[in-house]
Amino acid sequence: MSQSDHGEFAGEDEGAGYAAPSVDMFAAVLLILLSGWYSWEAWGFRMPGGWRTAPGLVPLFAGLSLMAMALVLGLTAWRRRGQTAPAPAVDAATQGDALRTVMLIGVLFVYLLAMGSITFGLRGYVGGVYLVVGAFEITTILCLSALMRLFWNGRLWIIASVAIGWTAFLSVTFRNIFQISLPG
Amino acid sequence: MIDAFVQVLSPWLLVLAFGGVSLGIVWGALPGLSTTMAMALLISLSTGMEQSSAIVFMLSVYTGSVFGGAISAVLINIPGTPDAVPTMIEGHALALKGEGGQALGMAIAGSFVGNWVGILLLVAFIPLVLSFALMFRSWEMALLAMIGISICGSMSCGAMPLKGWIAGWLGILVALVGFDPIHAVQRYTFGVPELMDGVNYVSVLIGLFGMTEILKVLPSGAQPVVPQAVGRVIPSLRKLARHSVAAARSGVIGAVSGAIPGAGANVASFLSYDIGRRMASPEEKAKWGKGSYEAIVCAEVANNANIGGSMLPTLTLGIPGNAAAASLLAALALNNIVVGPAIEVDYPGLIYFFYAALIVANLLMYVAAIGLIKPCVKLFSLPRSVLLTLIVPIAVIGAYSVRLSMFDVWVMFASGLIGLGLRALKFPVAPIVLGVILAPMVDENLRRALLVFEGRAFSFIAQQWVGTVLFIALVAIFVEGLLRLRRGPAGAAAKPVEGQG
Repeated sequence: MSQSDHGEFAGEDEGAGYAAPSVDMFAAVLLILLSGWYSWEAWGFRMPGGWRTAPGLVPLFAGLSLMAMALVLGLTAWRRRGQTAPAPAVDAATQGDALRTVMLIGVLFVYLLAMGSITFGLRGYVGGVYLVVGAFEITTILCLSALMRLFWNGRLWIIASVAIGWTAFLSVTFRNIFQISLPG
Repeated sequence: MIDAFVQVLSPWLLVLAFGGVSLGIVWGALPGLSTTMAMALLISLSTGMEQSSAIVFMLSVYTGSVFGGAISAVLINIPGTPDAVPTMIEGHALALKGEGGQALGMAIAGSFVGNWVGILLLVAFIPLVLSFALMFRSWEMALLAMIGISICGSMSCGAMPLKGWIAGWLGILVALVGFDPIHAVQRYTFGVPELMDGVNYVSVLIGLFGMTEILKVLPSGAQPVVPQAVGRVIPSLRKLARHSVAAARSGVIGAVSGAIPGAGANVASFLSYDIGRRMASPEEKAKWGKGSYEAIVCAEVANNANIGGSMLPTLTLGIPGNAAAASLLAALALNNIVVGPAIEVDYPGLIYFFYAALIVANLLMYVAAIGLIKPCVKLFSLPRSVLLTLIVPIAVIGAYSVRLSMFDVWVMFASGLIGLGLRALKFPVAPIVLGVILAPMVDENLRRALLVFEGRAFSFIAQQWVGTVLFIALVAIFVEGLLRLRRGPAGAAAKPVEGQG
C-alpha cells in the first residue's frame, strides 16, 4: 500500500509505483527478455486441433502483451531519465542491510536443502503419544536457533528452548492433531 | 438458513470460530503480520479439517485479523495491517491524549458495525449477482477473469497501473506451466515431473505474502516502543451512534470496494477516510488528523465491511475480491469446494452457511476484541525478529502440506525471493496471485469461445451483449490506466509511506 503524508491513498500494495528511471529501465529489459523467451517457446508448442485451441495461443498472447507493457515501461523510464528519483516508499525501519538479508537467504536455503536430504527419523510412543522426530524437527530446531542467534541475540538457552518448544508444538499439532504429514 | 445457524452454533464450530477470531486478532495486531499472510499460512491447517470447520475457521481468522491491525495502530503507532493506517493516524493521536482505550473501543464498535453492513449487502446482492452470473458462458468467463486481473493491477498500483498489470501478467505466465487442459500438451515443463501438474498457487501465495515479508522485515531488527497502559476500553456503541451517517456511508464504500477484484481493505479504509474527511462537519473536520473518532469509524467500518463485499465475487463468480479472499478460495478448493455461478446447484445451503459463519464470527470478534487488547500489549514486547523467525516453519508446512511435495516448498521460497525482488523494483505482488488463480480460467474459456465463434460472423459475437459489455469494460480499464500513466509521477500521489504491516 502506498499513501501520502496526509493519509491519501495511492494504491493497495505497499510501496508500489514509480521507481528511479534506471530501476524501471532495468525491469523493462528483464521483462522484455522474459516475455520474448516465453513467446518463442509458446510458438513452438504442438497444435493438435488447429489454432483456435492451440496450447500455445494464450501463452503467446500473454507473452506478447507482456512485452508490449514492458516496452511502455521502458519508454516511460526513458522519458523520465535525468529526473530525481522519488523518495523511497517503504519506511527505513523495515529496510534490513543487504548482508543480513543475504545471510537470511543463505540460512533458509541450507534449511530447505537439509530438510529434503535428511532421511533420518525416530518414531515411537512416549507417554501414550505417537511422536516423530524426523528431518523437519531436526532441521527446524537448528534453523530457528541459527536465525534467532543471528537476528535476536538472546541467551543461548532461551534460544534453544524456544526453538525446541515451538518445533515440538508444530510437530504435535500438525502430525498428531490435524494428521498432516510434515517433510521428512 | 436456520439449519446453517444450528450447524455453526454446534460447540465444536463455536470453539473453532472463537479460536480463529482470537488468532486473527492477535495475528493482525502484531506488526508485520498481515491478514493475507495469516490466511495464506493457515490454508495448510484447514486441509486437516472437514469442510464446515475449514470455512468457519478461515472466515473467523479473516474477520479477526482485519480488526486486529487497529490495536497496534492505536497503541504503538504501527499499523498491524496496512488498512489500519488511517486508524493509526487518528487513534495514536488520541492515545497520546490518554484516550487510547476509547479509540480502540470505537474501533471495535466500528468493526462490528462494518461487518454487519458487509454481511447485509452480501445477503442482499448474492441472488442478483448469481442470476446474472448464470448468463456467463466461455467468452464471458474469459473476459471476466481478464477484468479481474486487470482491475487488481490498477487498484494495487494506483500511481502506476502499468506495473500492476505487469505483475498480473507474470502470474498468468506462472499459471500456464504444466499440462494444457484441452490437448494435454506439456507447456514449460522442461521434463521436470513436478511441473507437469502446474505450479501450486498456494505455494506462490505463501511465498509472496509470507516469505517475502520475512525476508524484508527480519533483517531490519526494528522493534516498536510498547505503551505502559491502555486505559479504559469500552466499545462505545453510543458514541458510534453519533457517527451513524458516517458509519453507514463507510459500510457501503467498504462492501462495494470489497466486491471489486483487487480492491481490498486498504482501498476501502483509505477511500472511506478520504470521503469522510470531505463530508465531515467543519467542527469534525478540524479534528481530522489530530484524533477524530469519526475518522476511526470511517476507516474501521469500511475495512470490515470489505470482508462481506469480497465474498460476493468470490462465491458467485469464483473470482477473489482480494488476496485474503484468494487464500479462502484456495482453502475451499483444497476441501473440494469449487465456488462459482453454479454454487447453489453444486452446494445447496453453502451460501447460508457462509452467512451464518460470518455473523457468528462477527459476534465473537466483538467479545474477543475486548478481552484481547491487554494481552496484545504484552505480545508487543516480544522481539519482532523472534516472531518472524517462528513463522518460517509455518510457511514451510503450509507449502508442503498441499501436495506433500518438497518441490512446492522450493516454489514457495523462490516466490518469496521473487516477491522481494519485485518489491525492490516497486511492483505490487497481489496481482500475481490473481493472475495465477484466474489464468487457467482465461486459457480454457478463451479457446472454447474461439471454437464456438468458428465460422460465425462478427455480428454474432457482438450479439453476445454481456460479453460485449465486459469487453468494453476491459478496454476502459486499460484506457483509464494509460491516461493515468500519461499524467506521469507528478500527477500521482506516490509519496513516502508512514507505516507498514
